[in-house]
Amino acid sequence: MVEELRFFLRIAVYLVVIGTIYWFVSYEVAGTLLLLFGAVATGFFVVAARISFQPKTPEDLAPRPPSSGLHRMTGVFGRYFAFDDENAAGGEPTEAPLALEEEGFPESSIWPLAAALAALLLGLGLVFGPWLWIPGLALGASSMWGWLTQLTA
Amino acid sequence: MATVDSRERGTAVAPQHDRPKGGVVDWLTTTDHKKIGILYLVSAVGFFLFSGLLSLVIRAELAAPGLQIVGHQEYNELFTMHGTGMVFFFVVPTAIGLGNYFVPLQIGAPDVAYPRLNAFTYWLYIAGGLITFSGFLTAGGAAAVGWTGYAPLSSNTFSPGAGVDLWIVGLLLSGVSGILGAINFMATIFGMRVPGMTMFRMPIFCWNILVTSGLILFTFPVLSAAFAMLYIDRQIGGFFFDPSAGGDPILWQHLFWFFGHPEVYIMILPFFGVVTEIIPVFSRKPVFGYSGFVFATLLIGGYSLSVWAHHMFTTGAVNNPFFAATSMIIAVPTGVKFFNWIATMWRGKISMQTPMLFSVGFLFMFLIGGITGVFLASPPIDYHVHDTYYVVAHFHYVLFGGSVFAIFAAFYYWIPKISGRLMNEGLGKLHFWLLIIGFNMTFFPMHVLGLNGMNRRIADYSSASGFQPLNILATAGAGILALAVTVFLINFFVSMRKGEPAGDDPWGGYSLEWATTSPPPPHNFHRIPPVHSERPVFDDRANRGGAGAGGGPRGPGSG
Repeated sequence: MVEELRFFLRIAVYLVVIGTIYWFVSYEVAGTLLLLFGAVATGFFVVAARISFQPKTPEDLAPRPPSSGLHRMTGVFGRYFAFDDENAAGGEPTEAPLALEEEGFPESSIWPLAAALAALLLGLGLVFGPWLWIPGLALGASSMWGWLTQLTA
Repeated sequence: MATVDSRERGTAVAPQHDRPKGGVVDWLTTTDHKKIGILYLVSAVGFFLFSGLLSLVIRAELAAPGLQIVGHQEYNELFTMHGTGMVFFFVVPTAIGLGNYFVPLQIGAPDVAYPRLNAFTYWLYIAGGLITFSGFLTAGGAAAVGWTGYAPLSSNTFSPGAGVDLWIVGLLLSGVSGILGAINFMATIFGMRVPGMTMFRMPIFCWNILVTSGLILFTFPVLSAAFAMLYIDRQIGGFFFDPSAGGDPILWQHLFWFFGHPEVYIMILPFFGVVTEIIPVFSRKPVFGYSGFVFATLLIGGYSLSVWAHHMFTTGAVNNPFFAATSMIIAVPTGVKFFNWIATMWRGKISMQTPMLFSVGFLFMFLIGGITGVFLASPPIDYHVHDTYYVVAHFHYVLFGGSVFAIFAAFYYWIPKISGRLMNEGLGKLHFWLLIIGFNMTFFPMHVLGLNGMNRRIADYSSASGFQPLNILATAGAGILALAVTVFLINFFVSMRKGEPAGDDPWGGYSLEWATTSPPPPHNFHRIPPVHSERPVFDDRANRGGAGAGGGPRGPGSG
């Protein structure tokens, strides 16, 4: 399992453990639900990402070292929770290429500012009256349109 | 101490590499992570100055018993907006600004994963800030409910008027901005590292931004939900927090602090990262215990999710031993970090230039804040000092002595990379000494005031209480703090006009941002050195046999 997923898996397991302990020492609903919902959301992400995972990070592309002493000692726990960078040691890079995919990066765009202005109007509308939502929604819709068409241009 | 090599210095050229365009339209429409980072930093400093001015009025009012400058209502508005401004619009955005500028550089990426979303994130933060502070322009004034907005004080019954609504909506927008920013950081770190830059070769600053982003994703939605519920209570007749209709004001405290305590770590972890970048460079050693640092950061992040109700000990509605234990245990990974910082400096070739000076100041000041935090995690002590100036002293040692000292360290360390010019060392050191003297004069007496029973958030105190001498000391200290910040601003503006050219790598840095020009070109790099360790630029210097492989920082004052 790659470190990116282990990062979330550790959190999910911690939240399950601490959420369970918290319930039995407090019987307090709000905190228990917050902890366990956090665990469910994180766990869902780990499972979904694991299923759809396509190897492309440096660790994945590196040749895997043979099963290490640490992994043998710790078994399943080591595989999913170990805190080591042996994969990195297995695959030294050659000269790092310049990954300048310049065409993939927009030089400038007015739409993020316009969308935030729309959010400002919508927010003020929540306080000073829904009439502000009319220009806010119009600006928001046009920002979204501009943003999306700029993306596909 | 490292010496200045005039020939080396001669190679530093004035910053002119690929200087980007700088028109107003360009800044309004930019999607370049570096420009957005600069926008974040400038805006955050603006909010810092404004919120700092509010605190100066607070200190002036407290210099003497009685009400001299503001009334009770205005005083409540001042401390509310001071706290809100510093927490939501200065410290967190400064971390996001530094992350914006330096995470892509440090991992060898040409930009963040979602540049337009990044720009939207910034403008949404500005929109949130404008709405929040616009409360001062309304008839009823700004929000006066404390930065914690406790129910039922924040209900319509006790806090009518638009100020609280603007506060809710503004923070809601800035919360969404934080969530989007966190997603962007995670996608960037997970998906855009240059080949060779494995997770365990990433600079510690990037690790800390990653864990901070995780905490934001866990906690900001909870805060947003709480604000939505409060808005419904106030505007649509809801009763989530209204006990007279079956609601529960304690629920607000649970929701707020489930966000609020991890927020403390959101405000400090990035700056742990900053200090961990600076100390090895100025000690001429690799960081001691890289994996230990990462592990400690993960532990702090995890633990911080399970400590929220130590803010609620005195409600009698929570399990105090559970939260006392989980709170105290955070001192262990934090202690690991402290030992690692000290071990990194141990027998190093320490160069005490301004960034390092602020980092060492951070270690001492944050340590005091951390230790008083362990005291406060003990319910019997907390019952005694809850809502007193002891707590105010504690969190200012954490957030000013910790975050702000590290922020200034980051500014002195990285502004040469951002601007191409070095800051003035003499003014920098004057800034440091004024800041540390003013800071301790202001906040250390608050420990004593709190232990003696002076309540926070009250504009007045009795002349018979004996509180005045220490309050005068604190107010004088606040004046020195204002002077220190003025020295910083003068240093900044003078250095940006007349500062020495920094060259690409004025400090002999280790991570990839020092492999490019100052300021970096659009899309960041002309050449990226191969990454074989967590110190690729150091390795590259050694392999090329260039000056500085074993040398040290060569900015002014390094001799």
